[in-house]
Amino acid sequence: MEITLMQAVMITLFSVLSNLMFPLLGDIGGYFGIGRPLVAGTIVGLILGDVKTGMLIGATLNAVYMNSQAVGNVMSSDVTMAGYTATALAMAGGSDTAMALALSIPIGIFGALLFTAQNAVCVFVCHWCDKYAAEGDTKKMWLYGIIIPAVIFNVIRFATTFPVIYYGAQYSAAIEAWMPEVVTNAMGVVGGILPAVGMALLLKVMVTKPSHWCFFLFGFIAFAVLGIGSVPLTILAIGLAVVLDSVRGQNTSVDSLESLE
Amino acid sequence: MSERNYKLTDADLRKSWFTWIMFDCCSNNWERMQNIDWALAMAPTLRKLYQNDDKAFAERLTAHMEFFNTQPTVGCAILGIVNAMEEEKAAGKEIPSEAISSVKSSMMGPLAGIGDSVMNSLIEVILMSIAMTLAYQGNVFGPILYMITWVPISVGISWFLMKRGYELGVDSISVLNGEAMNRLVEGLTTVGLVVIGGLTATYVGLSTSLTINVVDADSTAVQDVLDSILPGLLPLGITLFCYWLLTKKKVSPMALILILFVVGTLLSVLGIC
Repeated sequence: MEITLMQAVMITLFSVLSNLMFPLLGDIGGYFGIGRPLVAGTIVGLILGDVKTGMLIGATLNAVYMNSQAVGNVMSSDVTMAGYTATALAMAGGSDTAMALALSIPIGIFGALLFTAQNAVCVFVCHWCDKYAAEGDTKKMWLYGIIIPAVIFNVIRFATTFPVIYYGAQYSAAIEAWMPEVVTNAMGVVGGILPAVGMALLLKVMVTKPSHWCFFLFGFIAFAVLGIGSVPLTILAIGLAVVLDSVRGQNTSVDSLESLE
Repeated sequence: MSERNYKLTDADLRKSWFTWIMFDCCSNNWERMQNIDWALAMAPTLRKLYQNDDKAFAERLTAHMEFFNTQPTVGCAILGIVNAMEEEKAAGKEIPSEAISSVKSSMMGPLAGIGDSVMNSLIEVILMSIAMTLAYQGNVFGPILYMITWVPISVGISWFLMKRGYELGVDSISVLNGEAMNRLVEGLTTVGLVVIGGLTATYVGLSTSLTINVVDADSTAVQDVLDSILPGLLPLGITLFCYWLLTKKKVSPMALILILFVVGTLLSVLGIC
């Protein structure tokens, strides 16, 4: 699939909108909104004329980078940049999910480095703003503290993303065609197991006591064995949570009664 | 000297809230993190409180240029509290600047923790899991569903906390750290873990092509044997393996991705999968 100039520009623009430093409702609309690989993949698919393929590539990327928040501003991978660029290149090359996953790693790391560098540049911005704050000049604070850095950083984001998508697309098809079957097969297996990283990262954050494993296994078996869909499964889970909460509530009230006696 | 009777209205608070929620990630810097946008979010309310006093306005604005970093959505509670404190201070109540600073610095850590876990590890993950399972079935409504739930829920929570923070003042700390909050987190964790279990079964794929030759019989596929024990045993195994590496071996996520590249390639080349 070829990517035209116009398509590359549009994909890049969405990638800019999803930048953490683009004011689209802070991190709500951008980084955690259209920047999530599932949404990014769908948008790329829409622009390239194959929504479903884009969405499926994005969804798998999303599974790998499921829990990729920047805790204390330390980002290990800029998923927003990886999502748009890797999906576009993979679709240009022949819609290989494993290829998108492989590409997302260097792109994500590059994006994180860019973010780190921008945070360093903003230290100077912060000192300018000190001066304007002391003068009570909020107009200059807006101009030098928010608007100029945002423009510069997002132009940089455009300038680094666009060539990769537009020129990279021509190569990714060639690479895909050249790839021997051994590599394609191996990448298929890798693509299947990589989402385990995203799941394990979530489990690391969410499992705070051993009994939590029961819930995870409950969900796993409900889907793998019983084939319950995601919406019914969520409703069941909410029911389970409410029941457990009321049971715990009764236990605590029994405890407090006993302590009264 | 004109009488000071400036009461902040909903419109003033909205201006402050909107500046914060919109630009909170711009101009992040390693020295003082989100301080520039925080100061600018306080600017409209401070301007109203110190209408005729440019010197006091500049002084308070400068005070808000100090280090500040929290999770933006849940951090709105702090913005509400600090706006209430600034209002009282401007009305002549004895509130030292340090008191406002200490409220900010003592709350931003805990609220960042609550925000990261509740907003990004629970609410977002639950909504995203539903969307991703729908997407897996080829349903384009999945990503749309995510956007039309996640954005309004986040914006709604942030404004609710802003108002609550302003109305309850410092008392709202106890609400956010209280028993109700623990129950909410525990409940969301239960739901989150169940849907992650389903998501793991959907998205992690691994099956073996090995066969065993039983004596005097046809060869049996190992996968069939595994499926008869528990469907999805291998995906479950590889997920728990990753969890073990992350928690017990302290492997970084990026290194783990590379490890899986090697493992997957080996499994494929050796003809196991």
